[in-house]
Amino acid sequence: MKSYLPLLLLVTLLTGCQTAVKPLYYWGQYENTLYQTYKNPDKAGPAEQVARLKEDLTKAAAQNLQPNPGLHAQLGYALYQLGRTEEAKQEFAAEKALFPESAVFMDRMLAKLEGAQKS
Amino acid sequence: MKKSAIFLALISLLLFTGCVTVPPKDYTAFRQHQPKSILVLPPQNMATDINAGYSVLTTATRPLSELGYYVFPVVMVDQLLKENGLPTAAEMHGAPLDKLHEVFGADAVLYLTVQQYGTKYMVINSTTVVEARGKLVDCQTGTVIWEDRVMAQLGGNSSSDPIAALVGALVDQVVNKMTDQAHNCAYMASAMLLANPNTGLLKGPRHPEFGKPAAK
Repeated sequence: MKSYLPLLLLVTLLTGCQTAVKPLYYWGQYENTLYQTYKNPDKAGPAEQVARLKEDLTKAAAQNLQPNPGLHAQLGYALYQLGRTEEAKQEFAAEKALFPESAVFMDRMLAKLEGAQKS
Repeated sequence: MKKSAIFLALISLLLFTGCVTVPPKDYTAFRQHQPKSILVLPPQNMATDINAGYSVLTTATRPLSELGYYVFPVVMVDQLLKENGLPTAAEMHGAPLDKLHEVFGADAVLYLTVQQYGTKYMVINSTTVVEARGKLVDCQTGTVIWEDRVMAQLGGNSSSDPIAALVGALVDQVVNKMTDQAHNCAYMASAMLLANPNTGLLKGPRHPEFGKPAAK
């Protein structure tokens, strides 16, 4: 983990050199979790994703930081894939509340889940 | 401590070189169609490594988000598009903009192409290269509001740009032991392409410096 530091430093420096930039979001395992879904799909299925992303949410809350865009949505989608529809709906609603830019997409997912439950 | 010396060198190098003015990019169209949200589609992969597209895809969220944009969850988007009859990146890139706007509510779509990805092993040392192109398109009008390309390199000294070569060499010493060198290089490539203060995207609405003239 320590060895990622220089890269993160580079990113931070590249994103703005006027002042030291404070990250807008908490970035835990989101990126690596996504990468692993392609690199090692057997070890990064929906269940593993749920475990890692929930851990990120706990840590972000502990540090009083906002989770990165897409985290709640990806978590919701993994929950949905596991058939945990009620929890999935909560995550989609959380993404929409934090990021109103996602409203069209999240409403679509919520409607889809409502439909799936009725049938 | 040797590592901290490398850090210092990196920082000073970037501070001295990172803000040098280059011929300014034209951001007129960007400002006219300033997006709030960006849909990143899986990159078209021209490289030989089949992982190249997804490696770059999963490194694009952070620089865009930290610039102040809402970035749609890239893997969820990929999986949904696949489920809905678009199995490849090429087909996703061909999807009509109005449809993407309708389904996701995105303001802009980022089309990425990976041209080179991987490590070339040579006699003296090896070089890892990630070369990528990006094009940001306004969903409502189809206007290209930003485009650029980048070649990120770790290791080797074949670069014609002495600064890039120096940065590459310094980073190389730090990250050389990491297992997935090409993926690390993809992180660099995404940051350099999208968040370079001179050539990358303008800061977005969620950034505290959004719209301030000093910012660009």
